[in-house]
Amino acid sequence: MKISTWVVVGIVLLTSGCGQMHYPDGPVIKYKVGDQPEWAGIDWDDSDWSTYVQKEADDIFWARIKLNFSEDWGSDQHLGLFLAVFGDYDLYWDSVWIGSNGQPGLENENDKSSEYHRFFLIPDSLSRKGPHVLALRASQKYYTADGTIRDFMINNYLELVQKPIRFSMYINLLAGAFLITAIYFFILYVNDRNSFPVLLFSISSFLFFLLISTEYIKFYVPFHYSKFYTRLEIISLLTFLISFLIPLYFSIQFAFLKRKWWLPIYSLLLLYIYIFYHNYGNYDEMTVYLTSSMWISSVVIVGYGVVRQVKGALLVFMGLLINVFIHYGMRNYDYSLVLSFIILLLCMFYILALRIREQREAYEFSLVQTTRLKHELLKKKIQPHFLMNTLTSVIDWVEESPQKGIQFIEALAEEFDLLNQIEDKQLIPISQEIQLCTSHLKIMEYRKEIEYIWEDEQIDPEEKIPPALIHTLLENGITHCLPLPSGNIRFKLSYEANAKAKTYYFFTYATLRMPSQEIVEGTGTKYVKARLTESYGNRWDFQSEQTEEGWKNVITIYKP
Amino acid sequence: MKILIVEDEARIAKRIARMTQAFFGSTLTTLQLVDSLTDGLAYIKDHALDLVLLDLNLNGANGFDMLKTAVAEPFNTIIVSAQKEHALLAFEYGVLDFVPKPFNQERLEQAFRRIVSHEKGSTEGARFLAVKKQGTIQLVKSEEVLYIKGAGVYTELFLSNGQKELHDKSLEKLAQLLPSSFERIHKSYLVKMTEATGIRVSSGSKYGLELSNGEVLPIGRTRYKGLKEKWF
Repeated sequence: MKISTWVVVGIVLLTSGCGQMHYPDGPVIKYKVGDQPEWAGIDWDDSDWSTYVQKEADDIFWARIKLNFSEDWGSDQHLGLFLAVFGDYDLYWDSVWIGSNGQPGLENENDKSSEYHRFFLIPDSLSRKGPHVLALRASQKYYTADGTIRDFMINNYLELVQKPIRFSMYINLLAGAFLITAIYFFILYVNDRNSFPVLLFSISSFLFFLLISTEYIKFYVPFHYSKFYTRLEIISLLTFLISFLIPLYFSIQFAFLKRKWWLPIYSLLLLYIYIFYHNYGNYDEMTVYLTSSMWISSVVIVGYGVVRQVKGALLVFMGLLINVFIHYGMRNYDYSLVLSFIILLLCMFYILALRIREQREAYEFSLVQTTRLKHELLKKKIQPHFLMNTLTSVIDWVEESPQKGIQFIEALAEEFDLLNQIEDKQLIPISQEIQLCTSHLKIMEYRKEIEYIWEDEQIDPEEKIPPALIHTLLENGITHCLPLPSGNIRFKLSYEANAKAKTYYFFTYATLRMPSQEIVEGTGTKYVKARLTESYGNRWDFQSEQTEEGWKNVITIYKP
Repeated sequence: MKILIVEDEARIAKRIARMTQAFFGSTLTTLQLVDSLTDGLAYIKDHALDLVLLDLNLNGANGFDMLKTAVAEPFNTIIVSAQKEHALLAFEYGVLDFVPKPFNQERLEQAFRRIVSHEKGSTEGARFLAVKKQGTIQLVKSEEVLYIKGAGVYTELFLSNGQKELHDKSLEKLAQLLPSSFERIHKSYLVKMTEATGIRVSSGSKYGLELSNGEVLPIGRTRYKGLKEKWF
């Protein structure tokens, strides 16, 4: 809470609120230690009183404020007085005792019942045109060094009492929205523990809820002035947490690359501000520096996102700029606080919704991708190029040698059978994959009349890989290679595993048809990559390159 | 007969070769087998041919790249392919026949007979004629051709925009490939009959075909009667 703001508000209300009073330099509060009933008098000469007085915990002292009404206060409304005072006091208005908030001089440690905020009704007879004096007979046991009258306002009594309550009604409405948001997103997070930004958003919403609740609780919950700083402590702690979380949230959502070194530096800066001003007891300046750090960091992080053209960054950046303008430009602290929270939360919500949508789209895409891959595998055995060429060769073999023809058909049946077994699987044992490859080679031998040699070494038959991965690379080898002078094409699969990764090496020993041709990613390579992504996310690597002896493929699968 | 077979499946290539030999017998002077597009294109460049039997999927490469070159050449092209869905497009490019795999001797011979009998390749006919122009091949829409004039072993295409293009195929071969609206009216002229407006008879029983653009082309004496019955 900003004390200075309240005084300003008080003066603003005094000077312009009802349009009846005008004090060019603001009312002056004068103090004097001592206790004389005459000091309540309107004519008492207080010119030797001072605006600040040194007092002891058990001292009785007086405070006086001189006011001048240029007109009578209206007869249809009654004059009210609001006081925020450090201490117990008796209130006098033009020498008349109006009321007390406790027992000055008899403040008891066990009885902190006197209220810090108090409203008083001034009798109509004492609110006429002319000079008036407000006098307090007070004692201040706690925080003796601090100023006594922290704030006061004079206005229509009903307006004075109802206005803050009306305002807190809207605030509580908003606080409720923040609370519901926090709960909702917390439940979302509980259901999906991987979405850290959702948790951050939930916590931020909850902190907003706590902060504005604490900020405005003073309007309807009475408290003793000795508790005044407890509330400020809570508020500054909440501000500290919010100032940390908001830029952190944006740095995650906009993938801020320098987060690693930014985060510790920023944390230390906030901690320094917090501890430094806490020791000083200067909560207002602490809030100013904490929130300034938050705004600057957020604007820089989101601005960096704008430069890198991250989706949604520009809109959030504009929102933040509006917020900074509101925060530093608006004179009314209450409105600017609430407004900037709303805009900030909307910015955060917008970017969260955007990311959630992206995630959902990625998920939907992965579903489609899985179906597509299944179809692609299915197509391997029914695509006309494979099927019709094979059938033509079968016919030719049958015509030439029925015996060979039958063997060919059996090999074909074996490959179809294997494809049937694996078609809807995401992972299959490597032994099954090797079987698929060797049966395919048998068919291709009949078709191409080339000798194909299969070799494998150090294979762990229980290891699993996505289906038709090696098979696809084998097909590529058959398509793009010519036999060696010895008349054959040799394929070799080997396996290596260590603590970090599993690696498959697949070599083709042959002559390339077009060694100089630039490699374009074909459907085969795309299939391999899509299958690896489907099963391992981004924990894989695929290298495919020409070697002196033919071709080399390396599939590396990293352990999580 | 000089024939080239472009097929990457050894077993199938041998099958086609065997059946080709059986059909053409002693008239076959050359029969070459290649298993890749590059080899095929190189062979076409350096050798005179009468027929190319072409697969459309060669070691993963698209045979249409070669088809475009082949159809601009004087020889006929027959596609032997597993990809039936490409048949229509192949005919539009001007291939004589499309033999789908798997095939038997009878189906292949049916295609070969078209070369001998000059019967039309397809009912739709070629939609494009591939013309060699400054080293590149351009496709001319057959609907833009008004008439074609034989010029020795070449032909001249007269287009509706007034331009003239040279084609390497003979008038006989083009007559076989083009839609049935193209009619041979003279030993040197093939005309798109939708462009004809009437027959002009001049002294000495000379007949001429009037075109919509005012040109008059000679009608062969022996063809006059049939032409009149069919079109007028």
